[in-house]
Amino acid sequence: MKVTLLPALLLVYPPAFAHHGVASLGAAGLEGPGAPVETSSSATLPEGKWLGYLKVDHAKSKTNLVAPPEGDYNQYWMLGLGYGFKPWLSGYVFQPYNIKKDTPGGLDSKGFTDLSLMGVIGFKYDEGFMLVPARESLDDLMDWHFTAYGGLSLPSGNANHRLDDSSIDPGKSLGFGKSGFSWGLTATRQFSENATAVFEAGQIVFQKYRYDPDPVGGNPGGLTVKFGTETRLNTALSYRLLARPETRFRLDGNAELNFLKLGRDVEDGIGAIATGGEMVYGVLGVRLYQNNMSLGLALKKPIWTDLNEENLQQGAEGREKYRLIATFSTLF
Amino acid sequence: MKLPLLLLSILLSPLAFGHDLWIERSGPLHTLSYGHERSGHEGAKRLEYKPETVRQARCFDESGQELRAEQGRQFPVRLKGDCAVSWFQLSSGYWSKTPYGTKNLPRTEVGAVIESWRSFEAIKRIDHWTHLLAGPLTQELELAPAGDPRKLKVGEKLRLRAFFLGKPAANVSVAYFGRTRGVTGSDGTVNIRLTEPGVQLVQASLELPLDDGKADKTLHSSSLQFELP
Repeated sequence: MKVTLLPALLLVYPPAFAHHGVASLGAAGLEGPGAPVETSSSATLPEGKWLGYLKVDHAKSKTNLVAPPEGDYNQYWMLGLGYGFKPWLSGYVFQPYNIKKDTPGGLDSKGFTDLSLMGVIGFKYDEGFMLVPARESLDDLMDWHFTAYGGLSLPSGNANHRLDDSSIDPGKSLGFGKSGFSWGLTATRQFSENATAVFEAGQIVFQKYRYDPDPVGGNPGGLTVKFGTETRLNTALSYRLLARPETRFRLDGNAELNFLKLGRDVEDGIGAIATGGEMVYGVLGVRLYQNNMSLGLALKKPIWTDLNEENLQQGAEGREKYRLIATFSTLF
Repeated sequence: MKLPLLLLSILLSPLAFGHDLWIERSGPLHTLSYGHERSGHEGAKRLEYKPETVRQARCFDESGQELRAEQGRQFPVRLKGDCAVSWFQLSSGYWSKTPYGTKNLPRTEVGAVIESWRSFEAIKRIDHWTHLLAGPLTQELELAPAGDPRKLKVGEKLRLRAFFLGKPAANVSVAYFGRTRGVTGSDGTVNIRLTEPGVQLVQASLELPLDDGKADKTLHSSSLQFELP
């Protein structure tokens, strides 16, 4: 007789501040709910457990849209560490590292950006709302689960990072200069042995920041920028394709729809042209679990866009050719 | 992490989850049965057991007080009484896993031993209910529902506590018709969603170290039986 164990929570990662890319939260074991790659699921870390997390999001831009040089690709790396303070309360710290690469003749940037801190509270509905208990059966895990998360970034990166020509491009800065704030809600329901539906709504709000004088970039007195608010509505279906209890291996397929609304950036009090808009991404991916480790792989593409001054936008969200996403996490 | 050990206990226990104990009732007669009757496993439906392995045959009223009941000595073992709860415990003795198969002997009586254990199996049947039955009635591994389980409907959760030596027992693996559904928390609780109509069988398993020299550990299994209307 093959008996599968209770889920060992394998991966959890909450939203983190990356200017145009967020992580999410999820957890799964051989049995129990699955976790999408992009959409946050509603799981918290087991009490007293640590989580190590690495994500890379390679966003290849469409080119030949505007006069060269254009943005070629952005690569968002994120290193994270989480801890379960209580079964229902997890805390995380994330350190992003961004690479923004132009086509030949352009100006590139790369480096560590703002550190971020996140907190996640988990609760569920089982004949009433309650905080997530320390231990749940497989049947308990099929109840509706929720999380509320919130966090802030710390201005540890260099917002006034100068490019090779000594100019400052806020879009290629290594920080926002001031803290940004994020919050959101998730809901997860495993509705059969293999299938899990996940929903998420979240926002990231940025503060106004005045950059250093930049005569080369045409802002000798500096430029004040407030990046537009990011609003996300995500939904996902995770389906367990394969489980091998004897080797503690599991393979899930994931399909996601991610709606993103970017507010228009404001520069010196004026709405910036060719920024912001709305878009829907389709995400197809897989997640593999082995023992206490998990690897997620996904392809993400914009499938619908309504961008402000769309024909002038290049290298931004909604104008990607594709995004390749890989995540690795381990619980210890 | 203790979960792999629990898994091992499930796999090794000759009665736990692989075969079932259940109690058939006909009027005041409670008959201890053993086999595959209730789980839908492949193989013979009923298996014979040695009546002398039955260590306990007990009858309780609705307040949890033990009643005097007549016990048969032949196979199948029977208990006669007006029981709100009937209870049997048996022990199939010592078991040793060797490279040549698993033998029903202590490790001292076989050669090379990979693992060895002493096995205890119990079954509890609930026919009537009061809140006084929400606690342990014995000192053995035992499952007790928090409320009247017979009032539940298919799709609802059975809220249970596992007890051992009369106290809530943590890390007890609990299965529903042979499929592991959870492990008890520090307060002994676990919730199981009932998905089958009719007779219900919930099985618990607990592994404990043993230092009598005859085996490495004891494997306790205990089933709870009741019927949905």
